Amino acid sequence: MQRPNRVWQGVAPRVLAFLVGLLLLSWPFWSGPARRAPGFLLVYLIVVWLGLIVVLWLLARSASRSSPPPGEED
Amino acid sequence: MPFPPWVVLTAILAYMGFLFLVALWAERRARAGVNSSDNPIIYTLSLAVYCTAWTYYGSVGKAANSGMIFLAIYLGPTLGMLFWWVVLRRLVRVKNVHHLTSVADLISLRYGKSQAVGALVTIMILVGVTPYLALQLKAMALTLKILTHRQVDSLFYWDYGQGSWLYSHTGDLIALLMIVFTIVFGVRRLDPTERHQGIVMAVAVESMVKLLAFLTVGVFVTYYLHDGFGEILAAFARLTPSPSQPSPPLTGQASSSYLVWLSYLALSMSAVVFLPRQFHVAVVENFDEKHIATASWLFPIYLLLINLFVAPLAMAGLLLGYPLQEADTFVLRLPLDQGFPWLSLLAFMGGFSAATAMVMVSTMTMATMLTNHLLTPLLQFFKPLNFLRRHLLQCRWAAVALIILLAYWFQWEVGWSEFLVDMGILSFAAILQLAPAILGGLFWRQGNRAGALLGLTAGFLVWAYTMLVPTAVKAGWLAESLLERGPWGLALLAPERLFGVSALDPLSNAVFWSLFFNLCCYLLGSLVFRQDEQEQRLAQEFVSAAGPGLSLAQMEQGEPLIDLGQKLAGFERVLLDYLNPAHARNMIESSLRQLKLRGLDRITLTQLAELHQVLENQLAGSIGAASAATALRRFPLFTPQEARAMASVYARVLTSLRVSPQELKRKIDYYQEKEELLRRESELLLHSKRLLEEKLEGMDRLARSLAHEIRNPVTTIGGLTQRLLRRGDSSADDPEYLNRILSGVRRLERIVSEVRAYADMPAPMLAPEDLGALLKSLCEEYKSQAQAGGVELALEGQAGQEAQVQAWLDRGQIEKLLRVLMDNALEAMPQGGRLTLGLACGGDQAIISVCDTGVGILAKDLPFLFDPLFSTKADAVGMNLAIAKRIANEHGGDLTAESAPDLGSTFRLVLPLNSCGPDSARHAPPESSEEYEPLAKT
Repeated sequence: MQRPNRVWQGVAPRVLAFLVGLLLLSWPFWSGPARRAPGFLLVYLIVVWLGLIVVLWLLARSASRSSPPPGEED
Repeated sequence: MPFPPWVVLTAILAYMGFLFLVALWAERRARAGVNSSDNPIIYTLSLAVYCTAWTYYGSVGKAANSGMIFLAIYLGPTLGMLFWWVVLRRLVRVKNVHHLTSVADLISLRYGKSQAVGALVTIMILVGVTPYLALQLKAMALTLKILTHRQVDSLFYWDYGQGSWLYSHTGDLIALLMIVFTIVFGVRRLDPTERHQGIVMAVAVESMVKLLAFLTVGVFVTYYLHDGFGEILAAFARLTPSPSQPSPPLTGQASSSYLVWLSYLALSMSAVVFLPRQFHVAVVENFDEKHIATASWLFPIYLLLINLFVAPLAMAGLLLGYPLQEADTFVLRLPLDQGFPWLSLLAFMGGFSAATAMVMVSTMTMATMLTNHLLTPLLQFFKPLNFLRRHLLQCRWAAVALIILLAYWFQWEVGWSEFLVDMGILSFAAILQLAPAILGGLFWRQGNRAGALLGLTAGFLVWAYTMLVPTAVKAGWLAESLLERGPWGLALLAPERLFGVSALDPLSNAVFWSLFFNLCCYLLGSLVFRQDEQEQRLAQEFVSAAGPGLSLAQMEQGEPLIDLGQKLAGFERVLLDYLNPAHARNMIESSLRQLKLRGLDRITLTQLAELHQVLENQLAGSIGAASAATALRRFPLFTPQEARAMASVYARVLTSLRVSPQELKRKIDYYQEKEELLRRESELLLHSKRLLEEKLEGMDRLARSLAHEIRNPVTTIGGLTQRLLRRGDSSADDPEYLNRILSGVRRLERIVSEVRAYADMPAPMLAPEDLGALLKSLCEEYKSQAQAGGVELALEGQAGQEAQVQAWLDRGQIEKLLRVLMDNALEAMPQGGRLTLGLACGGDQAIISVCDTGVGILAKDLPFLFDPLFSTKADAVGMNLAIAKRIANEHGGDLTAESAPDLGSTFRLVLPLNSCGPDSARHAPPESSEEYEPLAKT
């Protein structure tokens, strides 16, 4: 069974996070005009942005711990 | 109230002076071995060169005009950073191996070190990025004007020709300052690594300054002029849109806006890595790939912070009733109009930092590309210009000046139009054309030079047609009908609606079609054309660099980390070009057997090198050494990581030997030459030995043959002489004559017999013998004879002790030898004397001595003593000592003699002990400190 941090080291979670991120960043454009109001959009995008930063932090943490041998997770 | 120009200029010069000191400090520390840039925070801050004046001023303008769409320029990189650990880290690895200096260098190297590819990429970058530089110059000049003259202008709609000398020459001054700053900071000297720790540190400081300045203005506007985000958002929501002051929601149709949003995301995702300045700070200046992991979350935080107050600033400006078209100046105007000029100066310094950092790093990298990929190849063609090669640094300075002046000319020519407004995104679209060649080169082994050239050219042309042509039309350089009806009335070729697709907005149209043609041509070219040998090797190296990395330290320590299966697959591919599959597999199997690598999954670096050598040697047997070496060179033995480990191992060896590589090479050459000479001498000696042996063998055969031939007539003569003597019917003198004949015949028979014994002597049959016992028995044998002659017989050393010294010998032959010596000794003592038999061991030899106190041998006779047929006695044949000597030699030993007339003689027989059988006792350590110690005790 893979250790939890090994799961974070693959390309798959990055692709998944990318697709989810893209979906979340696209959602206001598919919704009604209210979702594109500057007030809502600003707060919404900042929240998504913060979420992405957390995911990036988790991925970076597991990547830094991935040695030795670094890169084998690829 | 505006500032006097001298205040602002002094502030600029003081700020740049401070940055210069920071850069100098970093460079001095680097020379002292401390890399200030080798820090994840500095690395992240240097990446923030991405945020230019376009970010600092343009984002507010874009937010006021188009709502939140500007955020896509910063959300794109954040999304893209999910793959930085995969892509950027690999670029850094390739850079570390090949010492890349620019993005053009990377693409040119990957596609077979192609000068054409390098030149094309450089031209694309020059065309694509120079207008972006123009935007920075213009932003700096205009903000300086606003601060000093309070001339309310939009950054991007500047009407020239008003005001004072400074007003009309601000642009000149800024361009001049930028040329000086770029040369002083980045191109003071040539550095083969193109690493500039000073400028990286300066850029990091500038990034902090622009962030703090922008946050300060943002906090001031949001929390001083207003009551926070909520209040601004609420106030803005209450703002009634009007034709002159429209509110800034996302404009246009939802689908169209979404395509723009997506295009911005894609463009910024590639720009944040592949823009020349970004590639430089992210890849070329990277010291540790682990910094990428930190930057991948820290840099998005920076981007978030620098954009946090963009929307509030835009809303605050609009709420104050500022014209929408002046939104680019809100950052400066808001504090200035509210009576906070020093805050406005701080905001200006932040914007100045953003612009200068971009201009300096971009110009520096573009100047490097210009000289390396355009000028240098040109010099190869134009011989009269070859002298410029000796002035490369000055050429680099000229390139810096040329690029900045080109950008300045560009903003002068089209600065009044709206062309520059979207210059940033236009540059991003140009840089996007590099992405297929770079990513394909990193991940797709088959991607080749033809594909890259075709893809880049197609993408660049479509980009120019769909983005540059429309902006040129808008600038008034071309007829507007071109956009509406297409060239020659062909609507299908209308630049902004290529092939009649009207669902795409102009930006999406350009991005989609340029990327489409770029990708198609890249794939098609790569599939249709073949790579040459060098390209194949480089492609393999790049893709391997992108593959699993191995621990450098562990590889250096000789840990078996290298995947043998992967290497064998590569070897097999090469071998199959020359051999049938069975033969290739056999060759690999045989090599693995030879090196005892069968059954292993992973091998060490050294084993891999040995495997390569063995395979090359085996293949050389089939196709010749040169072809084998060339064939296997196609398969890169070491990945860049492995090559680094190997180099490190060699470096450590050299360090421990305390020799320079040149000295080592000289020594290797010397010893190789010496080895060759020794080998030749050895061959000569062996040849001489063989000749001598053949000669001796021939002489033996001759002696045997002569003895045989002489023996028969001599025997006949002897027999007939005896018969004549027995008949007794001869004259009175006849018996005497016949006796003399008979005596001569007897002597001849003895000679013949001894010569035959010498020539026919068989090779010794070695067996372990107790030397002490042998001498003792011999002594017993001669005891009575000696007593009869008045000779005292004695044993010395280990001679009388049994089971002390054992040697492998032919007992019969050695006894024969010793009997010759003892007979001679007894003959030499007719008046009696002392005969001593001695035995001693020294090292790996046993020494038997036969010492008498007889008449001795004359000194003149000693050198010939062991020659065949030499004797000092009248009746002797003179073969015995020769036979004795030969027996000693056949045993691997020697027989020598010492003598003094009237004092006696000593013969020493030296026999080797190392030819003994497996007698463990012979290696027993000596027990006493006598001159000769017993070697064996049982």
